[in-house]
Amino acid sequence: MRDFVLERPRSISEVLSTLQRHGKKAIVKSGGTDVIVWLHKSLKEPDYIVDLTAVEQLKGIIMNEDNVEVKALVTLSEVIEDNSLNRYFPALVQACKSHSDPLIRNRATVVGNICSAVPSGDMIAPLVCYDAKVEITGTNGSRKVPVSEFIIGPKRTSLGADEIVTGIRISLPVVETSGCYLKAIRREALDIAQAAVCCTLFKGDNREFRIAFCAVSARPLRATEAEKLLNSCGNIDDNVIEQAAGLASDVVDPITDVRASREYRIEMIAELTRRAISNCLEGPVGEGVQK
Amino acid sequence: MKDKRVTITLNGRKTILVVEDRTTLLNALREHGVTSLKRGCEEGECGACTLIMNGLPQKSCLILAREAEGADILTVEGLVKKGRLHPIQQAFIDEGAIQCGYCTPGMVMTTYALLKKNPYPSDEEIREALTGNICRCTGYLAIIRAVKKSAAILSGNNGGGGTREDY
Ligand SMILES: Cc1cc2nc3c(=O)[nH]c(=O)nc-3n(C[C@H](O)[C@H](O)[C@H](O)COP(=O)(O)OP(=O)(O)OC[C@H]3O[C@@H](n4cnc5c(N)ncnc54)[C@H](O)[C@@H]3O)c2cc1C
Ligand code: FES
Ligand code: FES
Repeated sequence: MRDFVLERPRSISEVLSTLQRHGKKAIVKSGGTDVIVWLHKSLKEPDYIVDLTAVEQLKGIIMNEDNVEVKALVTLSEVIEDNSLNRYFPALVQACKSHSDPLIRNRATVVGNICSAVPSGDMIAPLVCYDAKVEITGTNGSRKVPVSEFIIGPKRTSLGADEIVTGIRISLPVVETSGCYLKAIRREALDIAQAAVCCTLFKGDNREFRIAFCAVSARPLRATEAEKLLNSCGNIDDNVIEQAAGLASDVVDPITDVRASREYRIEMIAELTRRAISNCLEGPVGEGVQK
Repeated sequence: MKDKRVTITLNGRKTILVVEDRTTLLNALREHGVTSLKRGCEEGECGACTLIMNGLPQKSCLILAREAEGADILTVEGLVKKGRLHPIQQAFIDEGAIQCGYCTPGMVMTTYALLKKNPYPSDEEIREALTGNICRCTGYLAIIRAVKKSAAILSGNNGGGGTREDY
């Protein structure tokens, strides 16, 4: 591993001044489960690593009256063990459980996953379905963007060199919900998705399905047409589910790589969508907040 | 340059490691003599470098030594008390869960963390907990038996052996 200087700032303002000083010569690190692998393999050779793990302000899951903040250093294990997140955002918890293995999950962060912005990132689809907002802070102030706009291409985000993500914020559902994350993989653990589907159902007077994908598009993608069909028809029978699965697989645009071919991925999206819709209709129902 | 000092509690003892910024916790501890930690893949895949840091099992090849400042770290070396093997280690021997032994320290530490959190794991929970530790020799079945045996001994359910509080 090539030598670098490790900076360990203690506060967000120290992080920002450190980044300003080093500019493009620095890489930010949270859990390091991507960054340290890149360094080991010499895929990146930065002069500076700005380690966020000593910044207390970036830790914790904070429940507010109508939203939850998942701060930048929250690990996947912390999400899995949080009762409120299990209750309100089951599809996010399922996606966390499908990620890597229990040891890596003790370090890997949700925010690091979306910052890496690889199409196979497991956190992306659930955060798109739950319409999470990414909270960004830089020397010129703070801003918020939806996850779907934050990721602008494979391994590319809208983050500036002097900015960091401080956390994500998700509105709590006000109606009953159900949700699931279904993933096609070659082995049960420590494998990256060939394809995955996240489906959430917000019940109540205006039933709303949301469906998003993993590993089958360059940018975050929702199955808008399939959602429209499911949201507008009265009774969802096998026929409707079949049509929705078809509409879903029509919009994806996967690549062929070592993990799977384009054709296989498209087939799997149809199949996983079918199962995900049925799961949401039959599955256990999470509560919404009482207003 | 090797000029940074990191203070940790290693197996109950205050310890100072002298490291470079780029040194991983795995390499720093191995240089310090903690050779139970194995350098397998150095990419987070194999689990041979597993230790327990602040109560959580982790892969030390993915941690920079300086991140461990102030941390409480436990490795297999810390499980041996007065020359006596820990019941988990003994169970691995008794069940034939060790062949080449390369994965064993990692397996033992993951097992230790699992049983602290969940003293009565089901087969399913054992398999899930060990998914990050790869063994190329045993075929896992003996390892799963060893974990179950450890759980029985540590929960005092072994016909008169030690109790959980002893460890
Ligand atoms: C063995 C193994 C298995 C894996 N399995 C999976 C899997 O199943 N699914 C999956 O999706 N991923 C997997 N990964 C990839 C990785 O674990 C995840 O992407 C992880 O969530 C990244 O989080 P992190 O905190 O470790 O990120 P880091 O490595 O710390 O950072 C990742 C990227 O995000 C940037 N970054 C991090 N935090 C911030 C911040 N607050 N502000 C701005 N930029 C930031 C960094 O600069 C870097 O570019 C695996 C990795 C390994 C080593
Ligand atoms: S050496 Fe750390 S996981 Fe393989
Ligand atoms: S005993 Fe050889 S790798 Fe497990």
